[in-house]
Amino acid sequence: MNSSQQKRIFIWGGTILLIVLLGVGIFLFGRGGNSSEGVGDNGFFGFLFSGAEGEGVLDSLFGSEERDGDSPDKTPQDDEKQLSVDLISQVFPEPVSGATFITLPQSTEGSEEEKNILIVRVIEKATGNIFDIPVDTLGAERITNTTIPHIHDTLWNTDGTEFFARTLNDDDIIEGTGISIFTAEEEGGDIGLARAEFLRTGTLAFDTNPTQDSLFLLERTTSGSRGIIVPFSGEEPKEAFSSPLSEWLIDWAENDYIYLTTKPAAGIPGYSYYLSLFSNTLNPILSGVSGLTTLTSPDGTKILFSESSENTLTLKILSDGEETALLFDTLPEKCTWDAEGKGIYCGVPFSLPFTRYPDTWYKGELFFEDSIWYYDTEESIGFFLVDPNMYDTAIDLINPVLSEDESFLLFTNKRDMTPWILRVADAFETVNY
Amino acid sequence: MKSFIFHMSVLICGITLSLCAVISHVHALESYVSVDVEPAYPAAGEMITVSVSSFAFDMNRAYVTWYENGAYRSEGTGLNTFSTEAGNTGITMTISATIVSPDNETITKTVRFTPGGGVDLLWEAIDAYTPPFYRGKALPASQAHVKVIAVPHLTTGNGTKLDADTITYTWQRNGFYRDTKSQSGYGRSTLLLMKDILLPNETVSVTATSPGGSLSARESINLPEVDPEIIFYEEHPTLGVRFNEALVNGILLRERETVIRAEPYFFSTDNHNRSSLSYDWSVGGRHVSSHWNNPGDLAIDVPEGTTGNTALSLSVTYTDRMLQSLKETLSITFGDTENTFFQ
Repeated sequence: MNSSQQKRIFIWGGTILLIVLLGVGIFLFGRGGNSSEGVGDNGFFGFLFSGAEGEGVLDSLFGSEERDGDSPDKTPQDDEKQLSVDLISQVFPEPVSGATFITLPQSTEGSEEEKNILIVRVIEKATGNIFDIPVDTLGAERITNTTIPHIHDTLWNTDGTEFFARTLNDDDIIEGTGISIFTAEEEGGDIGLARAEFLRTGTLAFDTNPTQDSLFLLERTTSGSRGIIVPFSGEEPKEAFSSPLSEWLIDWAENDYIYLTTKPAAGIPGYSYYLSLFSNTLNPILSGVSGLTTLTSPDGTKILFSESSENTLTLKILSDGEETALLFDTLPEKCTWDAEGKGIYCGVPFSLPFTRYPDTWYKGELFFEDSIWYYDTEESIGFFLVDPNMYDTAIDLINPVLSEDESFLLFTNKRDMTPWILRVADAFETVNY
Repeated sequence: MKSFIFHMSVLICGITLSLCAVISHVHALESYVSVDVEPAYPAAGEMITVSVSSFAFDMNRAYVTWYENGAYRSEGTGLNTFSTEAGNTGITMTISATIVSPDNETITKTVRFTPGGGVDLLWEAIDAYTPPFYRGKALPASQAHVKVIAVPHLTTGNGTKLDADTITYTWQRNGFYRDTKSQSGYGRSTLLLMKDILLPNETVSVTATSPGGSLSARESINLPEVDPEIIFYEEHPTLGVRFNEALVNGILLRERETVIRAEPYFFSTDNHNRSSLSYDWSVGGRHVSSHWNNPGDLAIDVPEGTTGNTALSLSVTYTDRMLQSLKETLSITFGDTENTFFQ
């Protein structure tokens, strides 16, 4: 083989090699978007330089930027994945007077083992009948058929077997009734019933303790009001507080401390105190805050409060004597703390019309249209969880309650007083936090 | 000898008189220097400002040295104010100012005060009506009765909080003591008043003083005045009054009979059916009768097949309160009228 022949072979070989390499490259480049088949989102060149799946070379070298919360004007379309489950669901189609979570053992098919299932227990407002709705099936089952008309609101004991209901009598006086629920099995019939255990008159405000075994009832007296502690167990009530005033809102956030806040009005200074059940003394927390409403964390170290004046509403947290404004504004009664007192779940209005808060909302003169957020108070980060508009629903969230494992948030839509749940874990997962 | 004694006596008298004159001059100067503490009754941790002033000489040319609890703090020409943070409740603080006047005369002024904690002033319009489950505050209309409560937080130096019943309260209304004298005194922590018809915004203040007088706190509030409101709600046959949704944009009547509930917010009555309020209902300009037992409720019967719009109006008057009178209207649409706002 002479040098001319060697040269020709080398040129032809090199050309063929280049064509083959180019063909392979074009083939792989065309498949570049399908990461599930082993090639990352960065295409051919991304494939060549990719580190871990889905990461670019820079990310694999320096790490990707951590998510640091959302801005309030973010919309769910920005980053929600395709929804495989409804993040929020209406659990009962009729207005309710109260709702709570309970867990009940249920046998599984083909097995003798029982497992606890999470149930929403509600009181139908029109009848006072009680229904159980498992969160996984959302099929309502009537538990009692005792008629209790026009219940305004309720508080439940820890296992949902007793509740305290407020109604109006013919003289427009508020009456509170302690009621026990007896199941069909207990009654030996087809359906259970609700039975009144005790009656209190003039219950102006109320709350349960964190363990939900006692009630604190603020009752009207001739000179003002008194606070009595009534155990669900039927033990003798005892007086813990008296005041020449009657306009108090109650938050029994800690077992030994009850938080009392003066009823709010826009532009009127409000005051918040805690009542020590050790010493029966009233101690100041917040003074002279305009339009004040509050929600205390379970450990008592943080107080979520709103301030309103001049047709604006501001949400703040008081912690270690420092006040911090949150990145969104809503009313504390639209929020609930998580069990650790680390963060809050809130219904947050998309917009706050120019009006007097909270008066206008309390009077029912306006509805909010809420999205639902979680706010980490320690990191000062807010997480957008769901926009009910995605489900063609407008929600004005009230009475939020977290399930014990914090996988569900139960709330009432003030627009029609129907109960709803948010699948919290799914919401966090869906928005990829 | 006599002459010596005479001269010595004259000299001593002269010196004594001169000293007396100097001393009396300084005393006179001292009385011409005044000291102010702002606020007058500081709470623990509150910023306080002590200032000195005089009409006898130009304080801006005086040299002032400030001491807090005997310790030097600051000095300078014309330095006539000093600010510091009030100490713990019950612990007496001393602030002194040594002032050298432009004529080189030295005057020392001292103030002592004991941060007494604070006093909150809470109030309620006790006869202002709100619906039974209303979460907001009842606000006073003209001539409403208001109860004001002082909640003192006076704490002694050893941390003991004084019992509210052992404190003396001095009340003032619109800056005057005469109207509140009978309600001031030992343990008198409550003030009752009727809103003045001529003064929409009134001021109430209180000074709370400990039994020995060593601790004091003062607070002042404004009492607003609002116009009463009438808000309409639907009284549902099975759900009761739907307080969650006021009828602000009118109502579409689909049921044959619908009951409208009028709530007279902030009128002076503790129950909406009280005889003190008079209700005057009309529909389409014609007077109609309300429920015999509940004058705040109006049942509207809609004959079958009726469609159209009309206006419901209600006048509520409290005859004993000339400024508590109001008329409100509500738009009503009958039947399934298309293109209605009230769907």
